[in-house]
Amino acid sequence: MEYIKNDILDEGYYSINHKSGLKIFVYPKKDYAQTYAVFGTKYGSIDTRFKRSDKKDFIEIPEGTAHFLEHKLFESEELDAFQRYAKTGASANAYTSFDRTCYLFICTGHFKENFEILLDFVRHPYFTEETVQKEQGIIGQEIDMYKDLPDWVCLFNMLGGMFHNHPVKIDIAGTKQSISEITAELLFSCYNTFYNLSNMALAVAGNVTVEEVVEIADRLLTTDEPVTVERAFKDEPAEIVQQYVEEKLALITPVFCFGYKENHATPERTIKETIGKSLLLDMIAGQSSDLYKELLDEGLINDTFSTEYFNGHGYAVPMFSGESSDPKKVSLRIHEKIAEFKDNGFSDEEFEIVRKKHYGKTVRAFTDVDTIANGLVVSHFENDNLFSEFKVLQEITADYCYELLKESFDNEKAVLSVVNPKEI
Amino acid sequence: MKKSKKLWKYLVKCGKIKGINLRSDSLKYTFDFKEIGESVDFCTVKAEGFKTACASLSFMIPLSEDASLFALIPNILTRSSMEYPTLTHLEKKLATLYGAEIGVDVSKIGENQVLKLAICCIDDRFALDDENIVEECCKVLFELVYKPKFSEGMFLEDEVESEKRLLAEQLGAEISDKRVYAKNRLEEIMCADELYGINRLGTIDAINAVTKEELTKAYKKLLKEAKVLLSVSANGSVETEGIKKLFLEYAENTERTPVKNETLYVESAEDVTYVKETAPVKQGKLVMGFRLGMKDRNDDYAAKRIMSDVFGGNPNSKLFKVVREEMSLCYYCSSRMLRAKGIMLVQSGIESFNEEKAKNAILDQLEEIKKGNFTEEDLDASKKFLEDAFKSVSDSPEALDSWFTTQIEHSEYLYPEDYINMFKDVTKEDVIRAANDVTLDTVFMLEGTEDEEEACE
Repeated sequence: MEYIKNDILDEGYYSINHKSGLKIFVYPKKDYAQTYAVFGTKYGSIDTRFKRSDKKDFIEIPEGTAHFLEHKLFESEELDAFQRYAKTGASANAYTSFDRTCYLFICTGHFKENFEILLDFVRHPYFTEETVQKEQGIIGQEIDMYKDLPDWVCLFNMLGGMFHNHPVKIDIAGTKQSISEITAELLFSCYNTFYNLSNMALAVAGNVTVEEVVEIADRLLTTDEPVTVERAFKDEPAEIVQQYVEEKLALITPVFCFGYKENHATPERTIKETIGKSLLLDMIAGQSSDLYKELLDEGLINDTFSTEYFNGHGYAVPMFSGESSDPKKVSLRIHEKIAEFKDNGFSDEEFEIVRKKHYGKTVRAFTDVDTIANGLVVSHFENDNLFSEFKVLQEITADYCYELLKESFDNEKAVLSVVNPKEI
Repeated sequence: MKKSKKLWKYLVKCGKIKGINLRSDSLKYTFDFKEIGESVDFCTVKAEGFKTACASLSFMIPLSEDASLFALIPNILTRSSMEYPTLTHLEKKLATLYGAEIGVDVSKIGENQVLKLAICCIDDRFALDDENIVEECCKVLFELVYKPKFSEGMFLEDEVESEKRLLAEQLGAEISDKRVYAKNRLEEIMCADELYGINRLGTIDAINAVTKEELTKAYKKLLKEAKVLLSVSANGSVETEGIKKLFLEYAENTERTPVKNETLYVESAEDVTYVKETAPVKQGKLVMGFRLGMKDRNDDYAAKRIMSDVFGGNPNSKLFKVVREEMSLCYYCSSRMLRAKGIMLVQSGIESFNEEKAKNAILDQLEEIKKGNFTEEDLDASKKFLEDAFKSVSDSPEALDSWFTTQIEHSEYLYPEDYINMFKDVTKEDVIRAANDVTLDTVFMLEGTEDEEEACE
């Protein structure tokens, strides 16, 4: 057990290599009413093709399986997890993203019982063909709901215009067609592969002690024979698929996503690169930038406009998104601004303004148990530490960001996705 | 809140029902309330150990046909001021205050419209150069509200036009989001003869028709007639008396004759209004509006709140367990009580051809509660869910600010614990009685016309 702390923030947490093979983090927040626990596996929607270390063949599974498994894990032979939490009052939930699936609860009392429920149901899968079929109706409605959401559709259309093969372009929940292929047997097989404790992490933040957590973990967690999973993505060409993608939905103001495909020698970006790119994006078009104000004054964007360095295993995309009556013009103006920055650089003042802003945001993040607990799991999956971002922001320089700028934002690799209003 | 919409929210798909994000048996904070002017409330929340702070100014005025006009005010005020002549100046100032964030929010509390401007920042002890971040942030907020940038005594034409466009686009986005649209339409239809039927942002046409003269007049009216609430939630070391003094200096020249609306409570519905619309979307949206039989906001409140929760407020509720889990009709189906108006809404996203089936299933579940077909465990689960959620309010200045400022209508300023105690005494008989007071008023169905084949492409 190791205690990792940050003196400036006056914050710290325990990192435990539990004998079961599971990595456990405990972040006590003495005066808090809430406790948040999250149990996650490094298994998300992009894991559609993989090989277990103890098997010799790669297998391919239907799109949306990770998300489907997330839904079904709540079930058990007797009381499902929600009914068990109903006796304690905790708010329980789960989510599936591109590269992880997490089960969580937040509570202000009965921590022990809640934590036992979490460890128990995540470790005891129960699926039957009948319950799997029933879930297809529920998830089918979830898929339809997202297909009507302009931002969601717009993002996936951009990814589709960018990636030939990488599964980041598929909807997290899959399609009605793909989920119809899911069987109880497949769910067990994926569960046994990805829900091995060596592929998982557990984080608890809030009104809790490390002793409480360890006592329950010792009692409930059985040891797993470590299995490692090799992700195998098909090769992804450097080129994009198409520069412009358009779809029509029932909406009023067009929605757009505009991003640059990046190619890197290694699949994952470091925390420093991620922060550097985020600062750059903020200097280019963040709310304190000249470009943001110009676009706003010219009626080209509204306050839904935002920037993000979207990245994960095998994909990295600096992107701009929002609503606009003329998305093409917005993308052109961003192009021009980036070219200008590449030629002339940016001022120290511009850099300091965004650095301070991100620094403040990071400090604020340490007040929220939700952000802390999820941050612990994510940083573990990324082989990093929760305080890295804070440290990087204290040290990062304008020169470093300028170097990043020069090697990114290739015009040939830009994709604009627009969702326009459908004529009724 | 404006400016907080992050794409990440869309990227993380959260399943199941979301909890109410809301505190503790032994209070770890101190709350204080004073009236510091005619209908001007000042609330402070202080706790040791907060790493962030949050200050807000709320203005409450009667909901009226001028809703669009008033809804524009927080936006135009946070765009510029005498001190910060352009948005870029303001954004730069906020960035140097370590990324302090300004948020504006327009809401409806009963038949009053509440305009809120808030600023959130990090605590003074994290300042890299010993600045008084919290006080400085409050000063920015007061500058924006009380020293707007005028030209010839009025808001600037181009800024007004720009904010009109932004607000119209915000309302447009609420029409594009069919879940929000269907809920708004239900309220509009159900309360067509009541002020509550007015959208908190008014209408796109009304927004487009606003002139700078009207907006300036509305701003002056707001300062004069609105009930005002200044709230500061911060670390114990922050000097809130200084902030109060500063506020009074900014507000000293405003003449005050406050007015407010008493919300009309319609106890029951005589017959059911049904309205159907179509839209080229994949998923149909069903919204059902019920009258709760309340004479006023305190009329059997606790029983009705628990009833609504047993019916469809959590994953153990009837609607979740039966309509979603057993019948697989939907991904979401939940009920929500709007105390400030004495109504309850049920919302669900379904295949349009399942409309009758879903409607009947929802009404059947209400009948079950009326007949007492639920267990003591169900009742207990609802109380526990609510207790757990309410207790979490104490953990952040933002949550505390929001908890107390939403009580502006009656200056009641109850603690979350007060609610928890109220709920404790509710019995099964109370819930059955509350359910028997419920009448269905309006059903709104937005039918999706996109067929399956296209959906599968």
